[in-house]
Amino acid sequence: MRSIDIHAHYSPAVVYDALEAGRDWHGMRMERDARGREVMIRGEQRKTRKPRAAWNVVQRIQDMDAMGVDVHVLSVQTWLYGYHLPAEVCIATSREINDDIAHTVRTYPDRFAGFATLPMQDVPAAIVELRRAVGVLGLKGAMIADHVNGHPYDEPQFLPFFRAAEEAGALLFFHQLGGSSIVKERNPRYHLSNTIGNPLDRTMTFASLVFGGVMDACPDLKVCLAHGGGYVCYGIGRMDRGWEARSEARTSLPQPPSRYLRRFYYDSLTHSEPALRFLIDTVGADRVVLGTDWPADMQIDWPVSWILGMASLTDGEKEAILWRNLERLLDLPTP
Amino acid sequence: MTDQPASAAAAPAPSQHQPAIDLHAHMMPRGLWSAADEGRAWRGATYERDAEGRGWLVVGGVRSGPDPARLRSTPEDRIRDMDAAGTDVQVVSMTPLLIDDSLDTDVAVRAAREVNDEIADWTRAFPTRLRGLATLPLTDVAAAIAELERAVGVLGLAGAEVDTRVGDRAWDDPAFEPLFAAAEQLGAILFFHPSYSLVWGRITRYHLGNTIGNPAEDLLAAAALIFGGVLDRHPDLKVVIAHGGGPLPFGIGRMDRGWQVRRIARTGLLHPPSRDLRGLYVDCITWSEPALRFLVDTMGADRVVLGSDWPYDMGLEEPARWIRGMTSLTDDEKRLILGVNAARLLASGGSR
Repeated sequence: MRSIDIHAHYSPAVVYDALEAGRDWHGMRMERDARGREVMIRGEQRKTRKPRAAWNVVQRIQDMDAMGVDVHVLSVQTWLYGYHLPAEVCIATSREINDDIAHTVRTYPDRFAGFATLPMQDVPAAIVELRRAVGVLGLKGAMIADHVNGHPYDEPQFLPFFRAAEEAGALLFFHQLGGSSIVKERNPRYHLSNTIGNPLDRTMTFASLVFGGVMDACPDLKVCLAHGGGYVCYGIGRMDRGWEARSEARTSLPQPPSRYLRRFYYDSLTHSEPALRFLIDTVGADRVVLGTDWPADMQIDWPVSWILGMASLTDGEKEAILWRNLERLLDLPTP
Repeated sequence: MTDQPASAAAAPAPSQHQPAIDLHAHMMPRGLWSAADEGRAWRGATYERDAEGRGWLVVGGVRSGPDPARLRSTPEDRIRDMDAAGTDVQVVSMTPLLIDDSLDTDVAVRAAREVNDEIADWTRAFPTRLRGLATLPLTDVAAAIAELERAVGVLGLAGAEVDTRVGDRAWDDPAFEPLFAAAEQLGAILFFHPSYSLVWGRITRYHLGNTIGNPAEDLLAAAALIFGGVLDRHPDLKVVIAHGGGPLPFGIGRMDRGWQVRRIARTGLLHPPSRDLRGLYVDCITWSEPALRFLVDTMGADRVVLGSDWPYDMGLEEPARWIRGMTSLTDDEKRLILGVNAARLLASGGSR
């Protein structure tokens, strides 16, 4: 069965070729630590390079073949977002990264599609780059973080961006800046910053867009939430109750938040068959798409057979999740 | 009472006759009301009325409200409300909005004793309708243990309500080990309930600090107890987490994956975290029958107790009727949730 993965990260050659050659790339450099591991350094940011994140595109395709994944929708390694940088630096890095992603997609058009990364700290610049990425480069939309330097998306400054995305027909794929979640300060132990923090950040993104009126202001906006939408489908009942009981929850929202569940797409990255079943039952099988988080250690190891092996899903649901929904949503060519 | 599996629970009485025991019901101490009437602060907390006459609590600079008028009920008023709602027993705990980790220990101890004495007065006046959970001066663990021992041993309370964190410390902090050991030995319930959530720090709008933040706090408390090894070290500790444990059952798969791939997730836990789900109890406040069904499927019907969050607007008006009316629960499951599980927890000396 065909399979298309919306949640697959990418290490752009334009970045890593420069770093491996010992060159500076927009203020970024690479060093080896005492154990010989490659560490990327940019200001306060330090990121140890994982082996599979160093693979080239040919090696990546071999791994996709082994897993039975036909298409990766490429999104950059999130530590390259750069929202904290001066806007002009992030504009430059985003353009180079997006050109690189588009080049890889053009080279292997039957194996890849791509998402842009955007300088979200400068909304007009983000709009310009999104239009270029979609209109000129042929990317499918953009991956953006759950907030921009602490600013949630219900803030009015972001509305022109969402209107531009809607007009461009771009899909927005929401995914945290790795290692930065709301839980990190609270409990830095046990990897909870990732395992609880990422789903929690995604839940707040859903709520910011819905309670903030963005989904009403942009009725054709296409949004996909990574990590199964976090705790959205499970926690929606309490959000509805809050809407019912509290006037401040209704300031920008004419209907209960559960009415907006089907305005979103959700990847399948739940790490639990019962949770995935619950997600499908809540939002509909036509709203759930394959997402693996390749090549992170928190990925689904054998994503296609994981879905195929689920006794609680019908064949039609498996087909919808593995490829049908994304082929339609991204307007990908049928092989 | 022994700890029987769900299918072996005694007495085949139908759920319609099962007494309903609400483990999640709050009170505001009269000391606060007296102080508010006289325009004074009570243990650092003040109570303000807005232009529309609604009451707001201000604790440690945080303003919350508006408060429901019923918060000021007498025990008799409360019991009339319970009768109307179909609740047989409430296990009363102080409103967690009054928790203030910045109080000096001696002030916190006096406040806790005053509140716990008042709750105990109520339970003695209405022993078949009201049970109580203490509040503890948690910034001083030795003082908290002393007050827990007094509350359970002298006052006859069933345990204590505690926050989902203590200041900046999570519940996996080794400083709390003696408290867990004492609670375990006393057979005391520890009911984890947030006072203030981390989500308020990100967004103050739309009540999300409560609707997303409180379940997140509940989950973080459960995760600290699980990953920190607290449940393993204290197999008889009676832990109850508010608001259904938050998204614990839905999110446990990702926590298992984190345990599998990251050494830092295994520092306190030699088995996947999902195995500890049966080491704790949660209340039923999920605001969704499908979510409650998922919770029961994941944790077991013998791990879920009735809760209302009385008298707040984010609470269930008629929790027992909500459970009894569900089509997705069996009659046995309803009995367990309505009261069998809570009765087992409330039995003195009983283990989980």
